[in-house]
Amino acid sequence: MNSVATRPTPLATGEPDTESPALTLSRLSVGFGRRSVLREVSLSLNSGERVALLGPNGAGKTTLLRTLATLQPPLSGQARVGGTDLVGSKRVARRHIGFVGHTPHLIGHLTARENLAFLTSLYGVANADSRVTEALEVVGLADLADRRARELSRGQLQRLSLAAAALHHPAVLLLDEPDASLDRDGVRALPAMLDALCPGSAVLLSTHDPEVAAQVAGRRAVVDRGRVVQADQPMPNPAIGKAPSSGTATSFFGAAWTLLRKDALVEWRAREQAPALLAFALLITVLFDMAFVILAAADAPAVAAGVAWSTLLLVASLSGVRLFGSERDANTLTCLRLAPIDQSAVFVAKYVVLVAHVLVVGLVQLALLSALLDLQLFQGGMLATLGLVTIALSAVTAMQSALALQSRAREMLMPLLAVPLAIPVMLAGVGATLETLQGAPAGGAAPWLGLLAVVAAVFLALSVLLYPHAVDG
Amino acid sequence: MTQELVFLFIGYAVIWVLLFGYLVFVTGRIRGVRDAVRDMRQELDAQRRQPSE
Amino acid sequence: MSLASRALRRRTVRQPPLFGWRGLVVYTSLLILMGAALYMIFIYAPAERVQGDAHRLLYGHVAVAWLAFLAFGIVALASVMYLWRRNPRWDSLAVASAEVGVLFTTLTLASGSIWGRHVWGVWWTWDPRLTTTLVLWFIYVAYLALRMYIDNVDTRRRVAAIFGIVGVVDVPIVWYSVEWWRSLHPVQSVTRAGLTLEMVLTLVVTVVAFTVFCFVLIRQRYLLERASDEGEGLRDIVRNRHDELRLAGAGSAPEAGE
Repeated sequence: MNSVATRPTPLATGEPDTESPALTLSRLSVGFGRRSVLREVSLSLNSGERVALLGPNGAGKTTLLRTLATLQPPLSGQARVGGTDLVGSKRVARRHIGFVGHTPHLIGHLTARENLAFLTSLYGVANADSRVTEALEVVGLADLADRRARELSRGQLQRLSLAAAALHHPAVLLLDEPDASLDRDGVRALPAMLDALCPGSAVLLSTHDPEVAAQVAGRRAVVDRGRVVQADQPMPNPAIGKAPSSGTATSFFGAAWTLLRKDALVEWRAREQAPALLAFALLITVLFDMAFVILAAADAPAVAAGVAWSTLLLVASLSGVRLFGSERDANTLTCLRLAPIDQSAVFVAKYVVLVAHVLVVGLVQLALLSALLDLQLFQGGMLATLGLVTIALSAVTAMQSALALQSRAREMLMPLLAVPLAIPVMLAGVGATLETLQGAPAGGAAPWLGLLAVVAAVFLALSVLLYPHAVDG
Repeated sequence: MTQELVFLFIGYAVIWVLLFGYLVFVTGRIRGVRDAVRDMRQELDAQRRQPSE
Repeated sequence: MSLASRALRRRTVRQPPLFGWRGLVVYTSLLILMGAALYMIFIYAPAERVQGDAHRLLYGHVAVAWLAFLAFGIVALASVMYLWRRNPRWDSLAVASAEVGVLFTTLTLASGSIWGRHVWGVWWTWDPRLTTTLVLWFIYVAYLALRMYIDNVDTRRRVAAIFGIVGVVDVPIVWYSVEWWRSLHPVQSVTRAGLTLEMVLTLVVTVVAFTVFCFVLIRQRYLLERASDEGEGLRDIVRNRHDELRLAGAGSAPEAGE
């Protein structure tokens, strides 16, 4: 576009070295475990340059781009975005990277506009509304702005993904086979879209079509046999446009709030969890009541205590594993991992949603048990117990869901992980309930409630501390 | 007295059998894995010599 | 290729102590200690006033119980170190200790149950110590299961380390919850009789003997884990070499520099 500047202007924050290229790879090896796919790649991109990675399928292009997008750690070597080391200061680097993968990382239940607005909040983009409108116009989706992402076609999703990745005007934009689901017109329009969306960004795209490479990129790097075998020299005077300006850092609670609003909206639209959970709790409660019918006649409070909290444990495990799992299934966890936020904020948002779910089910259950066992369960002590049991139980199960999520058999593993750790919560819940219902002197339940609060505090602290280790190498 | 000794015997027998059984099992596995590692190493060395010739 | 040669240059797995002279020293002293412990438990220690000879089982029971807790402490410590330093050796230590810890917990529960059947007349009672031990057993069985179900080696180590830390943190919470809960359901408590000097000495020797045994087990299991880790790495390198050779066969092979 307009280009008078002769050298890259410093990136927005924390960039000590203004002279450094937008992206530098030195002897970078990428792969999985100890198995390298692409070895000792050295490559450098200046601001405004567009480089195509050409190579056959399985040559390691995707692995290289995913590594550069900080989704997996490199095996050896170094990569720097601007002056920022990709491994050492991942979070800062993420602010300057945009990534479009094979599968779109968009949230199906949100509209095109909402998807972009959500990302502007996560990335702290200034003038969010106008930027979103501008991006939608550039990729040609202005008319479909209020349609949900799940109703868009493959090509439209690809355009939206491009807008999403370029929204925060990253210094480096990584495109993994952008021609895979774009039509011919889309590919032809790609350079213009990039010019309009993020002038001055360095773009690294992968493709196996030399024609596309020639159309979009100024330079080519050919990948073959695990190495970059041929790379054009960088242009002596790369066209440099307006310097990329990334957004400001998002605070922990700001990010958590954004995520929470997103989760609540998605749950409201999908109505995925609440009806199933309620039906499940209803069934289990009725089943227990039938099984303990003789016991219930003799000691209703004991049955109420046992049934209420063990049902809630099952509900919390189910809900927790689904909450994290749906994100993984829909591939949107990647979108969250790309964002320059404290990953623990993701956990906190999920935790709050889980508490809401469990609390609703718990209230319904107390009503049901009141009727079945002929007890007055809606009283101060019981409600306090329900609240604290919910908070503590959700803390335990949310954390274990996050761990079980990483495994092959999360549904099976979940009870194995969560139930032993939840035993104190169960005991405290039963203790407090019995103290309350058997008319013990006031304050008899206090130690139990204290214990519940301690469990909640300990598990929440551990989760916030350790969750980033669980999702991010 | 005799019944007590039977309990004692059973109790310690359980402990010893499990501990020694585990020790023998793990040590045996180490030998197996080490053999496998050695084989792979040889294969790798052979491969390394081949292409240069 | 530098990746492969670096791994090749790495030292081979050290000899496990069963075969070297160090092994001779370790195993001889282990046998002597164990023999001494057995002699003291069955002959040297006097019969107890209330329980008679049954208390002789408690020497071994106390020893394995303490080692179970120690092993899980090591798991937590090694897990913290792994998350901090990301050195796979810490993870190997964690998994070794966890497995040995589960073994010792199993022994604790079994010997305690046998003793309880004899002295209390029941196989099981919800005593805080028993319950906490049982919960601990469940937690670390889950730890081992969790490891089995994660294929990516880095993810496995990270996730297991987190769970290893959480498991240990949960122990005091379980303990207090069970102790308070018990006040709702009183159960028979352990009769406490005075310990004589001979009993204390016997206990000390037994604990020392079992501790040596425990460390030998952890070390062996650690060596096994290191060896299988190395095997896994070599397998990857062999696969890499196959890839390289296959590709190099096609034509101009980029020869690896230093």
